Amino acid sequence: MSSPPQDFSSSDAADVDMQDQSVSGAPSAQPLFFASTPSAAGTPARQRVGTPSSAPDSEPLDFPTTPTSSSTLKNRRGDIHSSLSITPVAASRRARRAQGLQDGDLDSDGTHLSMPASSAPALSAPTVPSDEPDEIRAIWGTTVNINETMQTFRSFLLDFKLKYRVAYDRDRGVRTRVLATPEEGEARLYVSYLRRMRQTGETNLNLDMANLSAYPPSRKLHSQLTKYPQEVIPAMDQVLKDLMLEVADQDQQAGMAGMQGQQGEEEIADIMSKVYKIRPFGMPAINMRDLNPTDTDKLVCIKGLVIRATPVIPDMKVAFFRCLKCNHTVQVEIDRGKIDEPALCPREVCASVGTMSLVHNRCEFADRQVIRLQETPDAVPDGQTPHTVSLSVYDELVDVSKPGDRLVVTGIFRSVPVRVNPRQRTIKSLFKTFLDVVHVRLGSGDRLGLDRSTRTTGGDRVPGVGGVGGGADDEDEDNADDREQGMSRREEMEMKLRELSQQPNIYDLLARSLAPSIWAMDDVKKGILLQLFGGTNKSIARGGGAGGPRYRGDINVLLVGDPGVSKSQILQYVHKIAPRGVYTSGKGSSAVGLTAYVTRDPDSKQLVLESGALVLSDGGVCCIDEFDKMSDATRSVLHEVMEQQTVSIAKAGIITTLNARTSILAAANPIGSKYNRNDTITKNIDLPPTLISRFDLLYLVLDEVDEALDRRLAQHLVGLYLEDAPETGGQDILPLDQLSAYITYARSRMNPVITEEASDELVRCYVILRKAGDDPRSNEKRITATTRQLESMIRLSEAHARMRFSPFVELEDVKEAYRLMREAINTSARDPTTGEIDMGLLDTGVGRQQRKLRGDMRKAVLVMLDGSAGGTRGVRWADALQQLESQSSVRISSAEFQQVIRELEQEGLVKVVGERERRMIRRVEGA
Amino acid sequence: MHGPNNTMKCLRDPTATLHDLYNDPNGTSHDNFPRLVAEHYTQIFHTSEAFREIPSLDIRSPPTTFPDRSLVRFRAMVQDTSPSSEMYLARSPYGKCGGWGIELTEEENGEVDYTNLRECNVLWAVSVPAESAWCAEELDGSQTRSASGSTSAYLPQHSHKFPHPTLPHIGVQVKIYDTDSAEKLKSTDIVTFVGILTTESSISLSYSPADLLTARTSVSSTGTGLESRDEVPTLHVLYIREHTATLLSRPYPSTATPDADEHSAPAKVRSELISWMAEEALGGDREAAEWMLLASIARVQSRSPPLLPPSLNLTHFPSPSPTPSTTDAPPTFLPTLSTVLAQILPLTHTLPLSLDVLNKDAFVPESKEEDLHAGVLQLPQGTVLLVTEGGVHEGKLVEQGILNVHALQEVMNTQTLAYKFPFSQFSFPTDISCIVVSEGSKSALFRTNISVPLTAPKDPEAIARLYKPVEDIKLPSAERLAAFRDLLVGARAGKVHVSEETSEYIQRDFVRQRQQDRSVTSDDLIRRMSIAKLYALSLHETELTVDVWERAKAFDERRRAACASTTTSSATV
Repeated sequence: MSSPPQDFSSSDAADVDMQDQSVSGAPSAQPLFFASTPSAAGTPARQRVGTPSSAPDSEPLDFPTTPTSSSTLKNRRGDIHSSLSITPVAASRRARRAQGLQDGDLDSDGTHLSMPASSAPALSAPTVPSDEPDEIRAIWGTTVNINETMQTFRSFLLDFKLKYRVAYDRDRGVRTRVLATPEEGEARLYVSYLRRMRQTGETNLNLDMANLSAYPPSRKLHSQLTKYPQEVIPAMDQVLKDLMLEVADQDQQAGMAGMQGQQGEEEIADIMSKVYKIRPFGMPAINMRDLNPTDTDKLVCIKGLVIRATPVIPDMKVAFFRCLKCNHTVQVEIDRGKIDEPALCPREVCASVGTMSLVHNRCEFADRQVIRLQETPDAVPDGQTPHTVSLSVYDELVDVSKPGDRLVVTGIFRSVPVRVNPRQRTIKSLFKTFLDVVHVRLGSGDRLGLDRSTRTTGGDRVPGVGGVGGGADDEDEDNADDREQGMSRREEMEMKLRELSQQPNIYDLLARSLAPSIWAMDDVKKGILLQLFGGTNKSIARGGGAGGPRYRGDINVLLVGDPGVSKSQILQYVHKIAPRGVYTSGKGSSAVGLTAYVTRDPDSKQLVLESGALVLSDGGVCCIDEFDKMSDATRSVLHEVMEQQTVSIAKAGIITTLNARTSILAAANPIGSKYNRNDTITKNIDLPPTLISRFDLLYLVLDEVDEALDRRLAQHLVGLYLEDAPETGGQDILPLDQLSAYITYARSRMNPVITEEASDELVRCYVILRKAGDDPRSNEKRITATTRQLESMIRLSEAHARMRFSPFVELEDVKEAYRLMREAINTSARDPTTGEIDMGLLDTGVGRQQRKLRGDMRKAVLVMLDGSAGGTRGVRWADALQQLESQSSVRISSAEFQQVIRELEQEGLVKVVGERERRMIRRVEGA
Repeated sequence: MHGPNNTMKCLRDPTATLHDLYNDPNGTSHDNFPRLVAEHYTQIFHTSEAFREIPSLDIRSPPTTFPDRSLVRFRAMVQDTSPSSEMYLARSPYGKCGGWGIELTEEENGEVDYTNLRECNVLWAVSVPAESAWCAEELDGSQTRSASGSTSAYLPQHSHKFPHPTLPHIGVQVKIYDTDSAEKLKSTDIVTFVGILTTESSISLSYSPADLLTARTSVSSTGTGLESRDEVPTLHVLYIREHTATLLSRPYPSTATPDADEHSAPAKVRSELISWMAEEALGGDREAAEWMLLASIARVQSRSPPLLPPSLNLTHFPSPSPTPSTTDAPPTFLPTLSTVLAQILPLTHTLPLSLDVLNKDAFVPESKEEDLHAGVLQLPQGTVLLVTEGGVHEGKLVEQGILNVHALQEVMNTQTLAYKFPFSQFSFPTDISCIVVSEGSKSALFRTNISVPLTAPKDPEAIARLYKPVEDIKLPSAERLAAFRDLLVGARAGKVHVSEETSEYIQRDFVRQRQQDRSVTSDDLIRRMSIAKLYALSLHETELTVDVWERAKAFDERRRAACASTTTSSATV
């Protein structure tokens, strides 16, 4: 660490003196403003909280100021505690430019650039030409030459082109973006970012570190940055600022729009007053458990879940003291977390003891926030509890993340000794560790996912321009870490999956692998398999986001069956495989558990929305066991979820609609615990028909007795339960992780389109299904298939095509979808009295046979009433029932009769008078 | 070289021996000093006599009875592994050994050589919950330090980190310097830590803002700092001694050959044990006692596919009648069964349910303020949990109650317990055999795999006998009791082989049964198989024979018949 010469003014001084133009408009000061003010060049006026930007107005401007003798004011970045001061490289060049400015437009420029008399020592700075060979500065203890580093970084910013990244990625075997035009690859990426930063007033440049490696000359910067971030980052900041000015200057000279004349000068002055920050990212994330002492003061990248965040803490950066006697002012900068209060007035003529008092509104503060980051469930080793680390975030990064967010942070790992007793000099050789964060990225699309609806739009944007930098698209950014880690493995996996998808029996193989320990039930497994793949969601992009109309591609499956047919086991398997599976039991979950609830965060005392199972499984599969035992309130929520795919919440003043684009896999038991084959399915399960009809596939899983089957089942189970090292059958099956990867891959990459041929087949199948309802003997139609079934068929065909990794839905997909549908309808919608398929059973709960019966009864009742038996007094209830019974060939249940009478009454054809046993049914006259 | 002198020195002044080891010219390498330490001390206390010499930290001798920096051993359950690891200075600037709570004087300039920083793992350990007294005695050895009168007054700190906060226990912050061995420790593991006992502030246990970064001037006040943190007993671990899964080890099959000594044959011991349990705790119901025996030797055999211990429901177990004679008795009566189990099992806990307990207690460990609070169900692997429903009356179950019931049901069904963390849940494997005791024909709150009706006289006197106090229990002779324990502990660790012939037989049996009776499902087969396996274990058989299978099946059939008859009889009443 080179001890800096007394050559830099405090930026505070500059701040004070900016208002002081009239006093100190000395042209001689011109070159120093940029060249010599290193990282400190930023004025506090740009800082967000507690900055004394307006303070100078209230203070006398002519206080004599003494910069602290011991130190230079350092970089104002909260995250960097560098002891290194940097002499910018481009001094001479810019001095020239500044000179030119002086000549040309002295007024406007000078006003901002001039330095006060009191900061006179700073004037010496430009006289030290930094490019002289004897000025070599190296990071202490290393051979890293800071000037060289700065030069390299400068050339990187100026000359980095996308094509380097593309070539680099290709070398590493990373999937890379295809450039639209060769020109795109030639564009100087960072120069365009610099322009954008100027135009938007942004001061942060996010730097993808992979780009450093991709640009051959800057390759070693990557490791330098990782190893010595405290020194290298300020140097980069300085280069950034220099280049900002340079580019602005070029643009001004080129007469670019918005950079002409006065406007351009103002822009440049504005740039000058800002603190520019490089925010590096794009390192491979490591597990926070792997942080160890050797990482101290190095740049590291970790992932985690924010579990709590403190409110913004104003962190005093520079204390401003004033002598009560002579009004002499002193600024003291924070040094290793402490500020030394001057004991006596530094002015020799005064030198009074104990007169220095702190002037709060002239002190300089920075925002700071402490965040606790917890390991995410996927990173925690089996059987371990998650670890947490503290993060200190500063300035723009404050309040970017909220509890519950998943973050990928890049920061400097710190260890600070802990003094067990602050009054003792002994330390128990203990160190506290935390991360000074330089870059934050909000995770997305993960299992727990970021719930965008709980955020205000725009308020949570991670600051900075050039987030991606590498020309990678958004999707790639999400995968940045995967890309880094074992890309080759991923490639390999992809290859393998593609190979798998070409196997002719892939459908059977996947279905078999779904729940290997469960015997048979092939069609059920196939249906669930297709559910896992899902159909394509239509018009999600074109429909205008979450609010737009959207046709669900999610397939819902209901399993109904006898107890002990491993329904729960299937659900458990799916929960493990599904990309975002959530498992819940209808009995145990309240409405709250399934939807979302509002709680008060214990720390911030703010209301927060916590997601329930359905919202959590957005984009995945929600497995609900004991579906029939769910409370009505919860079930009503499902109506919305299953068709609208949203959950609406109105609680504690929060009214919102959350997305729950989830497929539902539910299992239900029949009412009498055993399925009654003589009853319809709606009678067998205690679920409203409206809800049942929302399931695309409904499977009856019944326990059949069959000797051969039983023998194999027994063999299977005995092997499973009695052997010492149980195996899941020696069959040829895919391991769980591969199956999961296969599904995830297909879901994310495949969006099959329906071909002409397939659509014809769909129409044909639909017509067949509907025709099945025609009954030549009766003019009343049974409802066999509704448009719901057509939609289901489309979804199933799409899922099947996805499963084959095919970009098109072809004939065979539709055929299989039709077969599955027919199988499911066969078991579930068959009217037990007639043996015919009747979807009306599922849609309304009333089958055709029943409807016909009612119609007949109705006619008979009317005939009876109109006939002689009726008269004016009408017919007694019990008599009517008896009469009908005698006429009819089938038994008439009193409930049916009551239903018919009620309908007639509603139509105003009959009237019921009297109570209970004395009820009379009367024909309404004239009706 | 590791003579008795060395042992004595380690016992007297462990810190000095640590320094000696560090400065030992032979041990030039300090690369992995903690590993060296662990090996060194394991060697010294290798023999069980030497090991017993180390004073034991337990309820009888809590941390307050030891002088600072004593060498102790602490048999404990790992409760919380979530505290972040700490960094310590492994070598002082003068080349002295750091870590293990050794104090170093701060340098004038405060410069720290960061290359000497090492990591140590911090966790919280508590005395083993659910451990029965006889097991503790066997492991601690008979050496009981002179019990001073003050010990009963020991108030453990952080009692929220013990699953049963009202019971006497000890909680200690443990620092492990050999990070490799620390990584292996998981929540609810039981190990014995040997180390140096000190008192330290629990920095890692609770969270404070990185206060050292906050600028401090005379005016800016420092808010919450480290100074407000309370001091907790801390054990700086020298080495860790692991235990077998059953905590104690007993041979399986029992070494006594049937013909050598008729008296100690497993079948004989088993039958005596059943008689004793039936007589003392179950009103003479031998069937119920036998089921109780099977349930208490059940364990998790495999998680994938799940071969889990069946949960047992003992139905028709009368609630304690409020007899006027016991006016000053505690409000919740524990059945004598609880005490009987504690006499024969190493790890057993009784959970007397009541609405109050369900609604207020936390069953599931939950991380609050980054401190993992223990839950009632955070029990070591291999615990037999006796749940009594006798104390549950009419009333409202609030959300906490529902979650608690759900958690216990989850343990029974899947043997996992989901710890609650902010914004996430983590499932931890458990191995808890659950026995639910309920008054009705089935449990009011839980679904169990097996239910057994208690057929015992229901007159008030008989009921009182089911709840008789500890003093009235007739203990068998010490030798018999030891035989009982050997049988159970051995069976818990045993293995049963199934021959080709038997499995063939079972398959045929199932197919035949299904043809006779449609209601027989694969669940029945699974249940029978797990019962048969336990039956064989309880007999200390190494192989599941057709004979045992038939006996187990008949045994199960008797239970089903009893169940059916009691439900119908109670329905008609």
